This record gives sequence, C-alpha cells and structure tokens, in this order.
Amino acid sequence: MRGIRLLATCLLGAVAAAAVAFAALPFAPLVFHAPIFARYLTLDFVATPLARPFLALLAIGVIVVAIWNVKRGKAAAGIPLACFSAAMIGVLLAQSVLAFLLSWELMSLISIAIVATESERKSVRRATFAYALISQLGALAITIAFAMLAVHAGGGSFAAIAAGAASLAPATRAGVLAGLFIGFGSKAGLVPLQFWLPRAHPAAPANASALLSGVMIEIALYALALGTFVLVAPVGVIAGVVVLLAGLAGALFGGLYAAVESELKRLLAFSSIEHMGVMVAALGLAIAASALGFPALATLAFLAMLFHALNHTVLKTLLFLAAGTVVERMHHVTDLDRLRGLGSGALKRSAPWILVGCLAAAALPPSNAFVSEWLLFHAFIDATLSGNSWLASLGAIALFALLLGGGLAAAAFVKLFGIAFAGTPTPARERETPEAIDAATIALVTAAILVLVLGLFPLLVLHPLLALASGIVGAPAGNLGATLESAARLAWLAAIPVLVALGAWWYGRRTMQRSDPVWACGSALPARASYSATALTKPLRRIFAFALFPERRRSIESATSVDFPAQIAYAVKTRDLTSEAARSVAAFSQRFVRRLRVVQSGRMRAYIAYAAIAIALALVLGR
Amino acid sequence: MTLLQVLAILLSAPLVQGVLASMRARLSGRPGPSLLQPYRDLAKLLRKEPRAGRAGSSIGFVAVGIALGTAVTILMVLPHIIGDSVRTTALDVVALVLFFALGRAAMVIAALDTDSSFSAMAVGREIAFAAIVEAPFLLALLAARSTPSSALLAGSALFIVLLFESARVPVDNQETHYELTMIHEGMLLEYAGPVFAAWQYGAQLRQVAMLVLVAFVLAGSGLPMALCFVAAVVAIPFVEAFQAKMRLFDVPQLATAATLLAVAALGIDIIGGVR
Repeated sequence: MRGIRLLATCLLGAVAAAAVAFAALPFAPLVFHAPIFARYLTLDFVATPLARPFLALLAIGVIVVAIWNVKRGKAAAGIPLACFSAAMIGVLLAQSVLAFLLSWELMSLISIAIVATESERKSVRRATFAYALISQLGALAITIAFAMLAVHAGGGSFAAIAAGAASLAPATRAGVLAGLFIGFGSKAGLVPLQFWLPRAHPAAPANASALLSGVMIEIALYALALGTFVLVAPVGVIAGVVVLLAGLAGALFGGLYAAVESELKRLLAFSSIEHMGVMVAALGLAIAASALGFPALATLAFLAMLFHALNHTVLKTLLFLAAGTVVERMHHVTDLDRLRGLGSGALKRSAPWILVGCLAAAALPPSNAFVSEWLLFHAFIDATLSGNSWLASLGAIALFALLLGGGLAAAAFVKLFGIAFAGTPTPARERETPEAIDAATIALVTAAILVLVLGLFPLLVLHPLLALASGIVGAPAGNLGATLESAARLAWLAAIPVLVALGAWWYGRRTMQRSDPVWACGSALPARASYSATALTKPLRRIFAFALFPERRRSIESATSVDFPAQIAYAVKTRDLTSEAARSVAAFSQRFVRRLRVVQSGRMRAYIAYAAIAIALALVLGR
Repeated sequence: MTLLQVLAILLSAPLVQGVLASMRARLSGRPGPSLLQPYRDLAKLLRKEPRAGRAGSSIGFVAVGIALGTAVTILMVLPHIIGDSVRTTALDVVALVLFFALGRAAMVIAALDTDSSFSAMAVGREIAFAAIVEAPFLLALLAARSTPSSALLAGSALFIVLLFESARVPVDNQETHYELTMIHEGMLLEYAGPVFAAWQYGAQLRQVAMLVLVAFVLAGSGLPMALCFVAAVVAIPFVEAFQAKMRLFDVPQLATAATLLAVAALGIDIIGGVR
C-alpha cells in the first residue's frame, strides 16, 4: 500500500516537473512533430507563449495535490490523477487538430473515469452520466469546428489554421466560433452549459475535485483564449459581447447558488462557476476591446484573466483539499448544517490556512484574487470611461453583475468559514485525536502561502504576464506598468489589517480571557440549537426567490397531542434556474408532441392520404 | 495631508457619532446625550475587564484587529476633504469597496464565532444586504465625475449605501436593543469591554469614511466638499427622526433604488459623453 502511494506521488511529481520544464524553458521547444498520414493528420506538440502560464498553474495544482496525497486520499488515487494531468499537459502543448483532439478526448475520458470513482453511490453515477454526456457533446462540437477550420486552411496544424482564418466566410466563422464556444464553454462550466459541474466536481474524491475545479476548467479557459486570439484571430465585437455576457451570467449564477448552498463541495463547485464567469467576462472584454480598437484595455483585461486563472487554481486547490480533509476527519459529513467549530476542533491546525483560502475565494484583501479582481474591475472601469458608448454600457453592466456575483460569493465563503470553522465544536466529535501537522496540512499551508505571496508581491508574476498578454493581444504594454505599480502599492495597504490583526491576536493571548455563557433567553444553549447554514441564508433565499424557487417541507409527527410533537422533519430545497428552464422546455415539447399525435391516427386510410399528399407536393414543387 | 486627515478622523469619529445621536434626540423632542458621550462610552468600555466572546477562541480578537486595520486602510485611501475634487482626483473605488467588504466579513465571522443565535440571525441579514449594496456602492462612486446632475443622483445613491453601511434608520436602528430586528448591534451582542469598544470605534471610523465619500461625490455638483460633508451629517438625523424603520424584506427595495440611482447617474455620464 505504501509502495503504491509512493509510486503515485512520484508520478504526480514527474508530471509537475514536466509541466514546469515546458513552462519555464526560455525557447519554444519542438516537443514532437509527426506527420502521420496526410497533411490533415499531423501530431504537433509545442509549448507556445499562451500555454506557459497555464502550464505553470497546472504544475502548482499538481504539486499541491501530490503533497496532500502523501497523507490522505486513497493510496492508488494518485495514479489516474497523474495520467489526467499528463493529458492536460498534452492539451496545452497541442499545436495541431489531431494532437489537440486526442489530448482533449483523453483528458475528458480520464476525468469521467475519475468522477466515477465512488460509483457505488447513485448520485455519483448520475453525475458521471451527466458529465459524460456533456463532455462528449462538447467534443463533437469542437471536432466539427476544427474540421471546418482545417478544411478551410488545407492543413491540420494550428499555424496553417491561424494563417487561413482571416479569409473565412462570415457564416463559416460564426459556425466555427459557436462550435468552439459550446465545446470549450461546456467544459468551463459556462451558463447554461454548467448543469453538470456542480454535480460532477463534488462527486469525485477531493484530490480529483481539486484538479477538476482548479486546473481543468482553466484548461477550458486556455482553449477559449486559444480559439479566439490565435486560431480564429480577429473574432469581432459580437463574439466578444457574447462571451462577456456568458461570463457575467456565470458570475451571477455561481455567486447566487454558492451563497445558498449548504453542502461544502457543491458550494465550492458553484464558486468555480462564479470564478470562471469572472475570467470569461475578462476574455470577452479583451475580445471586444481589441475589436473596437482599444488595445491597452484589451491587454489589461487579458492580463487580469491570466492572473485570475493562476489565482483560482491556487485557491480552489486549497479549498477542495481542505474539503477532502473535512471528509476524512468528519467521516464523510460535508453538510454545513452539521459541521460546527472545526477551527477549534477537528481541523485546528488547518483552519487559519483555510481562512486564507476563503478570503481569496471571496476576493478580499490580502489575497491574490483580490489583486486580480482589482485589475479586472479596473479594466471594466476603463471600459466605462473609454468614451465608446458600446464599451461604456457593457462596462457598466459588467460591473453591476460582477459586483453582485462577487458580493454573493463573499457571503458564501463568510458563511462557510463562520458556520463550519468558527464557534464551539459539537461535542460528539470531540473524541477525535487532535489534528497533527502532516503532509495534508503542509499541502494546505503551501497553497495558502502562495495565496499570500501572490497577494502581497503580485509584481513577481504580473510583469512576465504583462509581457505575454501584450504579445498575444498584439499591443504594446504602454503605460500599463503604472497600473501594475498601483496594484502593488495596494497590496501593501492590505498588509495593514493583517498587522493590526496580529497585534490584536497577541493582545488576546496575553490578557486573561474570561467568558460567560451565551445569552439564550435564560436557558443553556444546546449544541443542536446553534444556527445552521440553511437558516443563515434564509434572507438571501427570500430576496432572490425569483431565481431560487425556494421550497419548504415540514412534517410533524405527533405522538399524543399536536402540541407535543414526537418528531419534526424540516427540509428546505432550492431549485436551479437552468434546470427549471430545461424542465419547462421539456414539458412544453412533450405537450406539443402530444398535440402532434393527432396525425398518428393509426388508420390506414389516413396514411395513404398522407402519402398521396406528399407525392402531389413533390410533383408540384419538384417541377 | 493624508496623514493629517487620517489623524483628524481618528480623533473626531466618536464626536460625529455624538453629533448624530444628539441631533436625532433633539429632533424627536428629547434632550439627548452630550456630544462627548461616545468618548465616555469608549473610555468606560476600555476600563472594563477584557472578555472573550467565547472561551479560548482567538477568532474574535483577530477579527476585531482586521476590522480596525481595514478602517484605517480605508481612511488612507479616502479623498481629502480640503483640496480634492471629483474632477481631478482619481479615487481607487475598487479598493474602497473591497476593503469595506473585508471589514464586514471580519465582523460577520466574529459574530458567528460567539454561538449566539441572535448574532447569527443578524448575520443572515447582514450578508444578504451587503451582497446587494456592493454594486450601487461602486457604481455610485464611479458615476460622480462629470455633470452636476449625475453627481446629485450618485450622491443620493451613495447616501442610501451609507444608511446600510452605518446601520441607520430605515435599514437598522442603533437605538433599539430588540434582538429580532437589529443587524449591527445584534452581531456584537456577545462582545464586551475593550473588544466591544474596538468594534464600536471601527464602526464609527467607517461611518466617517462613508460620510467623506458621500461629500466627495456630492461635491461634483459644484459645492465645496466641506459643505457637502456637513449636509450629509445633518441629513442622517433628519432621516432617522422622521422615517420609520422599514420592514426587513422591504429593505432590498431601498438597495434597488440606490442601484437605479447609480445606474441613472452612470447612464447620464455615458450618454452625455462628457469624458
């Protein structure tokens, strides 16, 4: 068993090392170039500038997961994860249609298998099915789009496709873009193709969820950026607006559902949808701005997207691995309504670092996501001040949606930490052995320190990313350096609260603390009476009832009299806006089809009449 | 200049609170407390024995440190009451909004750490309202640059945000101690002594910061900023004395109104193309 765990760790380490090598090498190494059959079927793997930051974030995610895996998770789980990560590296390096499609499909298939790990549970089987369905449909859309591109370019390499893209007919271009958007967007979890994500990502074991939510959706973002900025190079304003609006829908949807979700891993998955929405909105702004002739703005938006992708990997890996630790320490209880006081109980050592992750997920200072969202908001503010009325209106709409979505996401993570980690632990769980500092904790600490380092010293990565972004967008970096400087100054302002908090903590340790029982109207407060996550979000459910369809079921079993119930069962359910829409479409189409059934009378005469009418029509029309 | 203003606000924040309480009392026909009462309250709390919200927990201390630190940070990025104007000063609106959010997050987590259901009840309201006023907050700060009319619209939007942020009457009531309705006081119910003093002082600092921002935005209409500051201070007790507290689930409509005002202001700017 120990040997398998060692092997898995070594494999993950090797994959991470490979990713680091590809990301860090100063030249673009030709990894592999094999013309297989004809000019359409070549296998090219090259590390391009656009792929480098994504290779780096992949390496970070894999390293953190590998450390965690030394202590927790199933021993053999690391082996499929290493294969999965290798497939993702393949996607990043692919420079021809065949190479890309093979790697993409390999990545999808391995991830489907990983999601199905705990297939003895019915919910996992259903999630796997939904994921398999959407990922194969997405692959189909990508394949068609790539086939159209390759046929037009007369070759399968990305260089040929990019060269031929300028001469695409408008209709073909729109079709190709739609195919790429559906294919990559479904993998990224864009609304309305996101329905599988909050089921599939939490269904996998935590270390796999970390890679799915922390790395794979970033790969989908890479693919979207590749499609719009490299392959089909000038994609136009309308495509940019569509991408932007899809991103905003994702940010709102993810934020709202994360805020009211009470299951730990599902909450994290909804937060991934929110963060992905933010990044895709930035991509959309970059496309629109570069099409409208605002290259500096496009560069800033693209830079913010790249930095946020990196930050999201770090913070989501941290949080999903933390969820994995919760799963193991709390015997598979991940319901926030039943978790309380982990910070002074079962996860005493990890809690401060998880708090860092929660702050980052809420984009609050002094975290890395604070800096990237700051850059992103500045891009949208620049858009509203640009003087172009289209861009200005889009910027204003985007600011509204991102702030509402971000505010809701902040509520989600404040709830997560405040309910599950703060407060007094429930006594039944206190028999546990105290948490030791082991490899799993070290993994969380590593990720949390990365969050803080990127948050306090953002220029370390912002300067190289800026050079890269301006290269891809095709605009000089110009005076964006000044924006970066003020971002760095801002990061230092964020250090003030941290220092004051450390002082207050020291004061708290030094002074003798006395505490009194909590006021509960004169009676002692039993642990079961503590406020639940569901109760905490009741106002939100009520305010956003139009999108959440809250439902409340209460059943009272009375033994002797109604006034002395033996048992009260209480359940609250919210439903998903997109699945509601899907359900109503399905209901409508069923009603429609039922009406149509009138023509299927089953009488022979009717069918003969239909055939006669059809022949007559064919004769008349075909003349 | 910045340092001078930060110092002035640090010293005068309780005074502003005293002025507001005293004016509100006078307007509703009571003699009211002295202007210096908040200083006496803070001094009394500081003399008391430090007590934790919950035994052995350091979350309360860390959180109050973050809240105080954020308040100071906010003061450092505020516009200057004397010398700055909306037309020339580039204000870091994003940082302001996110630092306010950090202070609020700290208070919410500290409230949840106490195990009190009354605090948690208040937290539920706070996080819901905070999520919906963030957008009008930033949009109003952003909209205030060009024309006098947009400055007035944005100023009123920001004033509504101030009512949320500083727990003022149609949203919340600082003078009540009825657990089932209050928000800000409810979250701090279990805190006492110096820690409670720190929470209150932090809230007073943030209140002055909001007032400065409202004044900054209103000053876009051409009035001097100091005058706008006084106007904003005076407006609060009038609203509090003549307006009843809203029912809890009518409050989101107030946030909607603020959003519409801010969007209208921004719309005037964009359509006017003044920039």
